[in-house]
Amino acid sequence: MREDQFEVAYRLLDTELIDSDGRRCGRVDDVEIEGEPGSPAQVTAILSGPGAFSARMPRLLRPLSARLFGEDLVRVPWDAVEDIAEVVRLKHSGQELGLGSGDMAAARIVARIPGSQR
Amino acid sequence: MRKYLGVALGVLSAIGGFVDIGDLVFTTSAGALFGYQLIWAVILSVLGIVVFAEMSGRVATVTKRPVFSIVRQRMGFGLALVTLIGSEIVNILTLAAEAGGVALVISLLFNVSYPALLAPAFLCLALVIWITPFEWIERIFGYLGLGLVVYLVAAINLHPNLGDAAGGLVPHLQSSATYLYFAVGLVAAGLMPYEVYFYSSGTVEEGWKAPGDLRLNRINAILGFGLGGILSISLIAVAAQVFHPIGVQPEFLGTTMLGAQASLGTAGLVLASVGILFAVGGAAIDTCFSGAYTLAQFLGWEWGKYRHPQGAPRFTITWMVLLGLGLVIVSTGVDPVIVTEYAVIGSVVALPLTYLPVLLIASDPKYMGEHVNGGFARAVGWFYMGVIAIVAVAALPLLVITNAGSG
Repeated sequence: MREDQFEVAYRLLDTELIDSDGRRCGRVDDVEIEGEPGSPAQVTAILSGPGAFSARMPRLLRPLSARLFGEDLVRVPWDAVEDIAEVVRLKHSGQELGLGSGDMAAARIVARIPGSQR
Repeated sequence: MRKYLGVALGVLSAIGGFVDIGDLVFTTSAGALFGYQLIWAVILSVLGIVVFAEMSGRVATVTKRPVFSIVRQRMGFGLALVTLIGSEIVNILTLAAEAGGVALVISLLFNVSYPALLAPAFLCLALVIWITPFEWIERIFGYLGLGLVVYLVAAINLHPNLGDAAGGLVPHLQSSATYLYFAVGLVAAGLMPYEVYFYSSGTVEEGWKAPGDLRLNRINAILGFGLGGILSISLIAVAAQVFHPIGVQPEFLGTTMLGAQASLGTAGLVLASVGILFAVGGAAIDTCFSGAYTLAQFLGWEWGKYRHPQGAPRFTITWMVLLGLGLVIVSTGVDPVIVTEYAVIGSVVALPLTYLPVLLIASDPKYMGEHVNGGFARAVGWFYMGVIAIVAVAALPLLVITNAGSG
């Protein structure tokens, strides 16, 4: 990998993901890089979700994290990235990309509480 | 209009953050044990929190990203995770102590048994958060918490010995470990990380924009926390005049309330009770939100009270779970005052990892553009990083040596 590409991958990591509706929908928890030794490497996708960030935790905490947040892992293809600045902007809504599943499950619980439909 | 009246965020952050149950007990104890000697520690911590609240508010206003959002990006996943776990534990302990404090104040006022009031107090807080818009939470708890101004009146009314009080303004050390414990405790209590998590997220909740609202940010930080500092000093002064001469060592919230009564009679007691009730209630909400903000911002979830509960559902569930955990902790029968002392000392672990990224980002022109820290802000910021480092190293040994200040 060339140095500037490495820089891109490094800067990407841990950045917030904002979807096309302006909603926060996760972070860059991991980056998928393809390439063979000797040939230029390329970032092919952003990985987001508990399945990706749990793997970065100390072994001891992983079962707890899986218990609390599940093990979803969403692969956002590189084509879906609109722009990289201090946040990563996506071309589609989080739901279309499959990034909203945790919120959808939580929304069903919140919906049962009186007054949530205000 | 908002531009002129919008100091509620700063006032609530400070009343609920600076003058919370930990501070009420710490300042009263410090005044009773050492008279005016420790006023300098309050001033040191007020200046620190003003500097860092202003910085975190400025960063959040300019970049639209509050403190914890930045912690992970700037410090990396590992250190951010440590900060998250540390501050989350402290948050839950503090939340338990503050909400328990609400029950305690009501039980003292109406002579009802304290354990019976715990569940209703938590339920009330949950209802208030569920129903009330963010800006009204700020106003109700911030402004009613101002009842604590009664301590300033009480302190003046008791005709303090100005010579003695002035002596306390000058930082000085004593060889007594208990004195050092209280000095460290007062500095740490004023710099509790949840204050900037709450304040910086609040600026995003309120939709502040650069450059217009940066002045509002500065005014909020200085007025809000400055007021908190004046109230803390007043609490020390009242204790120095009422309890120090007779050698009372207060360990109860009730003692703090009696301080106002000794100077101003029943009216003083009532005002102090209202002030304490809303300051401690406000702190419970501060810590509850802070816990939810930090988790959501660490993981990149949608967050915010300004959102419809359905608009940020994971955030909504998080604050509910935190409130529930707080209730479990105080229901075990632990004394909220003891819990808060351990929370203050425990918070020093999260202090450096919270304030360092704020300072780094606020000083980084790539993020801040023309609103980057000037030389003065950078110098003061690094000075306080030194103070925080000393406090972080000294806190735990002093807690053990002095048996949490009880000698």
